[in-house]
Order: sequence, then C-alpha cells, then structure tokens
Amino acid sequence: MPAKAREKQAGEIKARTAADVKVPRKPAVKKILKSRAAGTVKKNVKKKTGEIVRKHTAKKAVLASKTGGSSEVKNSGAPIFSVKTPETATHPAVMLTPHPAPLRVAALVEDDYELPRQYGETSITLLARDPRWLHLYWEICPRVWQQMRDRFGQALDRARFILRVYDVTYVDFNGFNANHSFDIEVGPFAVNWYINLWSDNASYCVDLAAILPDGYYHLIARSNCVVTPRASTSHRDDLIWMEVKNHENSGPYVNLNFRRGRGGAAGFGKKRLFLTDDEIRQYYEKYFYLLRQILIGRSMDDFYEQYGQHLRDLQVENIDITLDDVLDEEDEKDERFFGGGVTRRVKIGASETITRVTREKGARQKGRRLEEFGGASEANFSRPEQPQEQQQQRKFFFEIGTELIVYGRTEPDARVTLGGKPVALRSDGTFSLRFALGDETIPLDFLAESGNQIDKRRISTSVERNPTDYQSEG
Amino acid sequence: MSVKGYLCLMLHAHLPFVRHPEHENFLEEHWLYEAINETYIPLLNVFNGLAHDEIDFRLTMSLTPPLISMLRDPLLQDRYLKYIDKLIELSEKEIIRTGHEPHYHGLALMYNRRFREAKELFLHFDRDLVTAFKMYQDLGYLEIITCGATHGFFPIININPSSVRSQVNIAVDHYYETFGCTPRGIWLPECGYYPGVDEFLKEAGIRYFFVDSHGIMNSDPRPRYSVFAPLFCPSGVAAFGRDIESSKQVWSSKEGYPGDPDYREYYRDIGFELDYEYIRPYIHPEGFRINTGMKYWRITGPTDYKEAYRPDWAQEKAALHSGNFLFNRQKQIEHLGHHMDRRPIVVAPYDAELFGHWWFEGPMFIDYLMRKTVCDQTEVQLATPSDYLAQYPTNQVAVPSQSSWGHKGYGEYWLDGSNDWIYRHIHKAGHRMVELANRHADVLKNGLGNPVLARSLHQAARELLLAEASDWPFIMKSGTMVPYAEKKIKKHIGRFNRLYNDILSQKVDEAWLEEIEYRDNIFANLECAKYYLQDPKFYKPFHLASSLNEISART
Repeated sequence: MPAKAREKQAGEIKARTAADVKVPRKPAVKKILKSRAAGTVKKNVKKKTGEIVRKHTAKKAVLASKTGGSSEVKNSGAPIFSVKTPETATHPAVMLTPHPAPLRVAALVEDDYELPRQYGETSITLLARDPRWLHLYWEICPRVWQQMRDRFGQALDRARFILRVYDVTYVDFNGFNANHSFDIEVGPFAVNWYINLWSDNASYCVDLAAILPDGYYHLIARSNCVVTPRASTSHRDDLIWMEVKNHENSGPYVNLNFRRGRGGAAGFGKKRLFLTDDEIRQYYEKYFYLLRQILIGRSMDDFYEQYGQHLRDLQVENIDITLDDVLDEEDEKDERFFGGGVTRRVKIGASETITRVTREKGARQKGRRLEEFGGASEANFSRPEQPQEQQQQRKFFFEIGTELIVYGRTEPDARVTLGGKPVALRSDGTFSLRFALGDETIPLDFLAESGNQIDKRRISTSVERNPTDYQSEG
Repeated sequence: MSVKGYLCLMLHAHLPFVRHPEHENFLEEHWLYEAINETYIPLLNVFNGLAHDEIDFRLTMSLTPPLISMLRDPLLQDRYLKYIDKLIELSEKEIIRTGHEPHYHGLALMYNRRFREAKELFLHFDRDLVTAFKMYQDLGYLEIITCGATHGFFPIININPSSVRSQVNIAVDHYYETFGCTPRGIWLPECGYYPGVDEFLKEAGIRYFFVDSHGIMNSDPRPRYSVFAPLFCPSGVAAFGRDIESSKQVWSSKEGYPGDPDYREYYRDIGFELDYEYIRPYIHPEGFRINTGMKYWRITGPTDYKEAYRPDWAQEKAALHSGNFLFNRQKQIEHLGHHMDRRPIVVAPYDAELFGHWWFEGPMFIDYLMRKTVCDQTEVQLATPSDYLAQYPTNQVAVPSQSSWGHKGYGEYWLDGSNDWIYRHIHKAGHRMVELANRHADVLKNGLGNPVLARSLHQAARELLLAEASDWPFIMKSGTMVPYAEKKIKKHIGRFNRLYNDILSQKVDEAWLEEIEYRDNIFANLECAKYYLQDPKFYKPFHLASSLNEISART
C-alpha cells in the first residue's frame, strides 16, 4: 500500500528528528560467510539479459563492487549522455562547483500566523468521507447567537442542539420531502461531528437546528448535499458504449441486433442505437434502472417505421426485448416516464440536472417560501425561511403543525402507486411518505402491482384533520 | 506467439513543495535531495541504459507540478549540489575507514561511485533533471502525465468546485510550460476520484486518468471487463483501473518483493550507526542524526540482527523477481484472454519514490522487467494508456465510484480527528479566493489597475494552492513530523488571509509581498488568480482558451 510506504517514510523522519546523542551502536554485523555459491540460485535471467548486464554500465559497477574492486568504471559511451567518473575526483571537497552567488538573502519579515478561531459566519459544511461516514463542521457567529437569545430568551438554555440528517437520495430536497431523517444531539459547543451510516451510495443533507423546550424547530443552518460513495458492485449490468477519437465522442449508444421477416426469409441486422441525454438521465434515475425500459419506452420511431412490419425481435446486449414489449408498453410510456407528481433528482457524472415535474398536490406546506441563498459552498441550495415573520404583532405566539407519515412495505420489485402516481420503494421494498396535514382530507389510495404484473392489491383510506379552532382566552 | 495483452507500468513521482530560502539548512528539503539521489537519477540511469541498448520500452510517469518546480528551482539545485558534495566527501572517508573491512569496503566504493555519477548526470543536464525526463518523453519512451497542481485531494476540496478546476487547469498549463505539449493523462492526487471530476478533466483537454480497483469494480453500471479495460465516464474521459494482483506483489511489505532478505535494509543508515564525532559533519548541523543514504546492511530477517549487504545477491534477486513478475502477468493475461473480446491491459501504478528510495533495487527491477518484457517474450507488450485508447477507441460507458488509493480506499486518511480541523480554513480560503477574483475581475481580465494588486491576487491563489496539498493532512494522520505540517498549513492559510484582508482594505505591504513571492515561488510564471474567474476564456488552459478567443473574435 502506498499509505504504508509513506507511513514508513514518516516514521523514518521521526527517527531522524529525535536528537540522538546516545553512544552510537557499533554495527552488529558479523562476518558470516554463507556457504552460498552464486550458482545455487537458479538464474531466471535468459541469455539476452546476460548480454545486457555486460553492456550496461551500472550493472557492471555493481558487479565490480562485489569483489570489493576498484571504483573505476568503464563507460560504454551511452548515446544520450555519458556518465564518466571524473578523473580528478580524488578530493571532492575542493571540487565544489562554484555556484552562482546565493540568489538572495531572505529578509526577515513578520510571517507567523495563528489560524482564525472564527470567520464570523453561520454555516455548516458536509463532507462524505467514505461509504459509511459523514463529517460535518460548522460555525455559529455571535450575531446569530444574540438573535436566538433575543428571540427565545431563557428557553434557549434548555434547547436541544441537534443535527437533523436527511436522506435525500433521488429527491429534489425542499426541506420537507426527505426519504427519512434522524436527529443527533450535539450540544451548543461542538463545532464538528462524525456520523456513522448504515448504507452506502445515498445522498444526505444536514440541518443544524435548535429544538426549544416547547418543541419548536429552529433551523440555524443547512448544509450542502453530498452523495456517499458506492461500496459494492452496481445492480446494473447494461452495456452502453462510446467511441472517443481525437477528443470527439460519439455519444453513448447500445448495440442492437435485430431480425426481420419470418422463417427462412429472416434477415439479420445490427445497429447502434444512440441514446439521448434525456435517456441517459432516465437511465441513471431510480425508477428506470433498467435500460430495457428506456428502449421500450423509446418509440424507436425511425427504426420502427423502417422495419416495423417485419420486426420479429430485437436483441440488445444483455437485454432481451420482444416486439410485444414495444407494442404493448408504448402507450404507457408517458405515464411511466413522466407520470406522477415525482420530482426527480438525476445525477450522472458531473451533470446534475434537476427535473421538475408539475405537482398537483404535493407534500409542500403552503405559506412556506423557499429562499435561495448560498451557504458554505459555491452551489446554491434552498433552505426554508425561518418562520420568524409569522404574525408577530404581539410578543406572545402559539402555533402547532401536524404531519402525517404513511409507511408500508411490499415486494422490492413491485410497483406501488398512490392515486396513480408511483411511489419510490427502498431496496428492501419498504416505503414511507410524509405529508403536511392541514385542515383538509388526504385521500390515500394505494395500488401495488407485483413485478410480473399478475397480482394487484389496493388499499384505500383517507386521513382528515378536524377544523382547527383558534380561541383567545384571558 | 502474438501479443495477448498489455502491461502499463505507471510511476507517480511527487513530493510536497518544500522550499525554505530563509533557512540555510532545512531538514525537510532533504526529502527532495534524497529522492533525486536515490530515485530520479537511478531511474534516469535505467532509461539511459535501455535507450542505449535500443530496448523499446514504454513507461507512464507522472511528475507533479510541485516536484517539477522544485527540480527546476536554482536555489534547491544549488543546495542539492552541496548535499551531494558532502556525500562524496563522506564516502571518500568511508573508503578509507572500511579499508580493513572487505564486506563494507566494496559498499563504500559503490556509494562513492554512485554519488559521483549522480553529480555528473546532474551537471550534464545543467542541473535540471526535468529536461532529462522530457528528453525520454520526446524520444517516445516515456509518457509523462500531470497531476493536481499541488496534489490536493479532490474529493474533499470539491466543496469549492473552482478549487478542483484550478488544480487541474493550473497543472495543465504548468505542464505545457514545462514540456511544450499538453498532457494526455492525469494522475488524480492520491487516486482520489469522485463522480464529476471527469468533467473538469475533459474541460482541460485530458483524455484519461487512473482510479483504484474498487473505483472501477463499483462503477455504475458494472464493468464488463473488470479493471482490464478502461471505462469511459459519460464525459468521454477514460478511467483506467489499478490491477490488484500486480500492486500487491510490489507494494506489500510482507508478501511483496521489496521485503526480500537479500535486499538492502532501509532503516540502518550510517548516519545513525557510526561514531557520533566521526559522522557529525554529515548529519544535521544542529547535531541530530539523520539518514545519509549510505546503508551497508541487507534486510536479513525480521529481527534487528542485520548482515552486510551483498550487491550481487540483490541484483540476482531483482532479476529473479522481475522474471516472476513478468511470468505472473503472462499467466494473468492468458487467463483474461478467455473472457474478453479485446486485449486486456494490466495497469500497475506505484509511487516512484518506492523505487530506489525505499526499495533500493527498484530501478534495477524496472530495468530487468523492461528488458525481459521487450526481449524475452511476445505475449505481454508494454503500453501507455494513450497507446491503448488509440487501439481501442470504443469502450464501455459507466460512472466509476468515488474512491482513493489510501488506507481503506476512501477519504479516511485525509479526514479524521487528527487533520479535520484544517478543512474549514481551506474551504473558506477557496471561497474567498473566488470572491477576490470576481471582485477584481477587471484587474485580472484586462490587466488594469495597480500591478501590486494583480500580484497579490496571484500570490493569494498560490498560497491557497499550497495549503490544499494532501501531504499535510497525510503527515498529520501518520503522526510524525506533525508540527511541520501544521506550520505549513498555518503559514499558507495565514499568508492567504493576510493577503485577503490587505487586498480588501487596499493596503498591501509590497516588501512583504515580494518576500513571500520569493519564498512560495511555485507557478511564478502563471497568473494563478485568473483560474478562479467564472469565465472559461480565463480559467481554461492556455491552449484551449486561446482557441476560445479566436472563436469569439470571429463571431
């Protein structure tokens, strides 16, 4: 391991620095003449190499030293440069090459520093160290402390300071739509933290927040988003190819073999089917993890028009597609790719594109405004407005919120929809949805369809919150 | 027999930027002198021998910008000459001292000869070893690739994408300045890849990079050919994966070749072994013992008992090991041939300093390996990644997973309790650098305004780059020389922050600026602050930016 070697180096350096003024040890080397003739080691060097040894100066030098021989080295006159023993090298000390005068004598300048304790800003930065560890560091500037103190008074002393870790894998995170989240209490004095995780290849975003004794969640800062590295092999095994020549790439494509006609009249063909950026994006998106679905979804317009009548089957490397797939699923295409109020986050290479699809009715809380501003990183990310400005003519305020969490499980390969819109399943088949529950009815109409599309189960219910009654007393 | 596969040997040569003109004799500068003496010059000797014998070898090598800057720095060149003269003097004394100890006398003679040859070669190339490496590249033996500008660990500094982008672009421009051509590949510092960095590489005109084995194995989708063929990232930049088997054979201190009992023992140096008064003039002036580079013993065994080094035995072993290495590659490639529709490439990357400095016989091993591969068989052919891509322009598309070649394969070595405190400062400085560049975009783009202001901006960028080096957190984690690494970080961040404040308050102390420009003179010819602008015309490498200018001029 390179690390190992460098550790060694570091260790060795340490040894050097330790001022060693002990009585030096005598080299404890005994003269032991091993009865080891050079001939007993079977030479693996072939004839050619032997020749080389004869030719090569350095080798010869080593051989010469074996016999404790002279330091004279014969030179074979290398064509590129020659290394000759200087003839006058008897007393190197007087042979010092006259250097050009020292370039400059460094002036003494004030050049000692201590690192600043604070930079006077409130921010939190998230780093993905490895598949199962996150690291965070943060800073809360005195002004923000003062603001909190002014606002919460004594209650701040009893507040819990927490990190709320959101799993935002494949989510365009708006503060309320994380897959799930958990809290870690860190106290008011910590400035960094390591978080151990149980799964790799997931996206996270972390809030630094104070939870006041009355349960009020006060967001102090929200971090950047990170994706933890993948720690195991991918479940995708599709073959996508690309040709790159002279810095020009052909774009990703799949190899498609097709057969047309029937029986003996069948003809065979081969085609490169180039994928569009959108298709690649879909491919790397959670719901469409098989290339097959993209290829089915794609109408193969030109291709189908050309061969449609006679197309018997298509074969993509690693993927089998039959004509039936293409015909039957064509109509569903739009639904499968774009249906559903799903906001997707797509990540491929560096191009992180966010596809927003209109949401008819989402989990987004009304009355909350999203505000864009930069945090610790250059990327802008949204953080919800701190609910400071909510009707505060008087000092006293009181508010409640309700949330609804719906969870369930099914076969991992099943397809679950809520009101016709697909629901994201985790790899173990579980899912959970979180809704803001206002004074309204939330219909819950779930339909699960097994992977082979044979079994279907429906669960319907609804949740309603009674109208809120605001009263003022005293 | 025809060619069945390729072997790509890759040597990563890197040292952190250590240059202290303010001290006459600086301990950490010895890292460079020792590496020159024990690795770079012996490797050049090997190349020379191979070229002389018309062995048509192909080797990939990365020379990092800090290393190039130090090798070309007149002050350090001078100091190296003093260093080597001292060693020659010591070896002369040793020849006399060991006159009655035959098993040491030959070694003293060997070292004396090596030192004198090293000096000869150094002077032959007019003190600039980079020109020597360039010569072998121009002759078609070497393919030299670049690295991050100061070896910053990309997966952590990418909190500021502009920091990663400048690391890449400055390195490419520095390479162009040094070698007169553009680099085709890059060695990501510490092999630290994260999905997305390839976009920056593509932007800088780089065709390929290397990742550790699990970066390829865990790529998405799964790689069909494992690490034995490159993958194209969606950007079209190729990722070559490190072969596990060949790495282990050389790297592992237990199972690997360098631990053979006949090889020279690194940890017994006459600087520590000999009588204090005798060795005093050749150790550190303050009186503590340091390695001199003259080591008389072989590994012998796992105990402290060491016997005298026998160069002939060691040479025999090096030949044996290179033969074994090649034999294993032949078998490996033969096996892979059954599973692949193309010829496999086995990528074997190593730290260059392993060869010669740690493993004294390493250069000899390479010498034998090159000769045997070229002359003794035909199945395995030496190739560089560029050669392979020219032959196989079509490859699978996948996104490699974030990875590094450090301990446990990810970022742990560079981010743990011992060194995590530095990143808030480095990230903040990276953020501030973008702010400075954008605020003074006029100065940087059009050269308007006060020249001192422009110089301070460029110097601020240099200080940021130097602070980003992965070497400092590495040293902190390894637990030795920690004070020096801490001092380096504090120096560079401190200088950066002072520049930042001075620039904002418009009162830069010119004398001080000149002084730190002289001390931290890396990338002296590059206008480093430009790379932090948001405009591609300015942050892209010269050769690409100039074509952008032409296009804009035409339109």
